[in-house]
Amino acid sequence: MSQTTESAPESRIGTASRPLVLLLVTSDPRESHRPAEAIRVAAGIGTWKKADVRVYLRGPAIRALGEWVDDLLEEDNFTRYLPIIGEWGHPVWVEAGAVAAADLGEATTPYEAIDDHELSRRCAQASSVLRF
Amino acid sequence: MAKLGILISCAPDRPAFRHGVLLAEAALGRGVDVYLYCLDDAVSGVRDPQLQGLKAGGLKLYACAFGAQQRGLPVDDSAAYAGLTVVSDLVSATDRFVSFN
Repeated sequence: MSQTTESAPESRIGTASRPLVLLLVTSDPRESHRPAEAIRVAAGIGTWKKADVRVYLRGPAIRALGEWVDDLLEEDNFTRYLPIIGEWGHPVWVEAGAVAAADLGEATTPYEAIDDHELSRRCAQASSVLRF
Repeated sequence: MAKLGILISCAPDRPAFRHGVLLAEAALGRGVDVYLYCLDDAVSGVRDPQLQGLKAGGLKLYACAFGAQQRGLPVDDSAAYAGLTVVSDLVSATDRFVSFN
């Protein structure tokens, strides 16, 4: 189910008629509830189709995509809302080369590894950036 | 009139919370229509006196109902307690939407 691509930039992100909201998740889901809240918020905003929503996971936050999330705070948010995000037809973005990506097992949601240069480009394209 | 959406998600003792409130105050002072949504840990700061004071100046103040319930906070008239559909509306209907986290 999971798939990765190496920094294949989307030529155009979002639509002219809808703002693009990017959620940057950098906190550790083993120690903080904020990654789980970020996933809930992403699904909650994107579901209404009034904005294009993208999620970027960095460092330990990548664990949210893992096959086993029992050790993460508020893990229900990951199992409940990540599938919704996955149905939008674009991958979750993750930090290229992050150590946490090696421990995912079978990732529950398609993801794409992007480097920091590509991240900065995509942040610049976003209408709003929310950090968790 | 220009519309500004502000999302605050950090606890009221964090500098970013105050920065968000001060931005709202400055924007109201310039005649901007300001909508502020308190999410996650910021819900516990809804009753912040400075924030409440901005309502008299026209601030439209919202707070996450789910977050309030999770924290055992009363859902009263201190803010319009609502769900993420309001955030979605603010993102799409304001000229700028900024967040303080």
